[in-house]
Amino acid sequence: MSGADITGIAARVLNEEARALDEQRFDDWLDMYAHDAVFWVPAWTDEGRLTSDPETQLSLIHCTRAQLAERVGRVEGGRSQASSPLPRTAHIVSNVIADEIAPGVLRVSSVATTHAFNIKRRTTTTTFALVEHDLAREDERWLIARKTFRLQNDYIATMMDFYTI
Amino acid sequence: METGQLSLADIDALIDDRPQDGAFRVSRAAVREEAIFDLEMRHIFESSWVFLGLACQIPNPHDFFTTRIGHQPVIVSRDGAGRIRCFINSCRHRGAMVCHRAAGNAKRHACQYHGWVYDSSGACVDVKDEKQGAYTQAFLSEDHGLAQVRLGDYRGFLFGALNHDGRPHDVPAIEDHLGDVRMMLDLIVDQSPEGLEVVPGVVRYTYDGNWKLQLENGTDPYHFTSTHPSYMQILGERGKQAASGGHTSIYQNFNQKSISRGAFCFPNGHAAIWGETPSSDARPIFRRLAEITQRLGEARAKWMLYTRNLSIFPNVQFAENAALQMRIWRPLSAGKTEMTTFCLAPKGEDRAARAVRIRQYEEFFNPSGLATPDDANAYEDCQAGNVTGAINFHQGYARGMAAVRRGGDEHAAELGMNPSTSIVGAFEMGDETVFHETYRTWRNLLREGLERDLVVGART
Repeated sequence: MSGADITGIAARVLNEEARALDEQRFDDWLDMYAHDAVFWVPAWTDEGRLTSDPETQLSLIHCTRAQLAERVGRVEGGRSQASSPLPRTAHIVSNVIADEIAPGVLRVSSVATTHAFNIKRRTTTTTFALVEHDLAREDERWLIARKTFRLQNDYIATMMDFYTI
Repeated sequence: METGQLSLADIDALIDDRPQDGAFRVSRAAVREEAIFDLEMRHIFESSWVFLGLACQIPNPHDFFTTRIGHQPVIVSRDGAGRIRCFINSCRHRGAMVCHRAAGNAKRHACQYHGWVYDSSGACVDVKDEKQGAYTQAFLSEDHGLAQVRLGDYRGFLFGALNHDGRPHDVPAIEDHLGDVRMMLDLIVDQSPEGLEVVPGVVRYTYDGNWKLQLENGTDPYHFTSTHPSYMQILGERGKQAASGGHTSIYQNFNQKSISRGAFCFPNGHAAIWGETPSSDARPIFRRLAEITQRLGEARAKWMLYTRNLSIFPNVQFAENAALQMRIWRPLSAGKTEMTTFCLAPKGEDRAARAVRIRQYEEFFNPSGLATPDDANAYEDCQAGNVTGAINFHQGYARGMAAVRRGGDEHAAELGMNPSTSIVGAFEMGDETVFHETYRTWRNLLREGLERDLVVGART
């Protein structure tokens, strides 16, 4: 495949992911992740570096797919006051560049800007991040095998979760 | 309310404290009014001991971190000789902030405006073009160093006391300020013979609510079951799915056991709650219990496994439940607060235990976790509901009043502590007497500060 083809495939997957989050189809969103996927939002250190080892350093979020499923359940269960009502969001994906790093594996870099409107407070927050996805071909689908979300503005307004970034 | 018009009677009216009638109420103005906030900043945050951070954050010569005491930026620095100092982060020339980094290592801090340079002890080592400056002796005889702030160091817990208006006032020695709450700090620092360390990574967030909402929440067992059911549900599901054996969260079994909870008030506004841990084997230090018991004895080893939340008035909590969190807050206004949070751990912890600690920490304490967002949302709801003086007093400080006792109880005695008050009971008691001494201290500091203001006002 050409570079343009690969980037086109990757952009399609990332846009579908963003769309599922914005439409609050969280089960569809979860279904885009491979069973052994890791969703990682590293923290920053006060020296200005991102943490690089989640076993010995702090992350904002470090989740397996099973733990993402727990988060979806928490949000949809309606027993978390921070997630109810859910904010309306617009996930904007841009600057997509994809490389085939192994047969059937794409490494994708992108920029994510997410606007979240908190209905309860009538406030809007914006986060922006440099994102890396690994996409793995499984049968006819491209699944997200890994997502690393480098949050650039890590001064969090009250809270964040998988649907606000 | 306007700051300049507050009277001593206004301050007295902030608490309705009538022990003889079994009444303790706090005015809703306490978290709402900017006039009160201004007094708090000047007479609490900028006039008494405020927590800065840990000595282990700056282990080497010339290491530093920056923070604020009230509104005032300060630098906490280990100088070339290894002595920790705190100085005001404001150039003596025109006042510009000298250091803009959160932490690092620097032998020199240079002001980027006119180029004055300071060393890691705060001393001025270069007034740019001093020889050509045609200075008079009056200038040359001044000390040009960054202004030193009084520093208190209790076993690596660092505190600073500012003198916000340059008028003389005394703060006690840090050991006296802390009193017996030191024994609770000892339980944190003694978990490893090597001491304490900060897990790399810092998490900062804000919420739209008063700082005292966080102060209260940290020692408030009453909210737990109603604010965090979604978290408890996840842990319940995990418990069912786990084949057998160990727990991945200390809160597993929460509903299956009768858990007792206790609380202590200490002088100078400090407070602590403690309780048996539902699943002690999920504590990262559990596997090191034999070593800890041998080194410190059974009582202190038992206390280390307890859930302990500790408030050091006015600006830090150490919460040891799912993991060990140090949370420092900075009030930004009556209705906005900045949180800076760290994951702490005993040095020398093995890799597996450390990973368990970190995952539990993130899940419970992060603003991107499964519990703290619900707390922060509750603070914002409190702030949003409390916008006028239509209702005078909260009804939220009454639980436990029929059970609390003056002085220490047998649990305090196990640690050799003599707190102001003690209480112990079922988890569901949800004690609220733990806030009383804090609010009395708060009111007294505001009153004493306003009295000083009024004396000065009368002179001018």
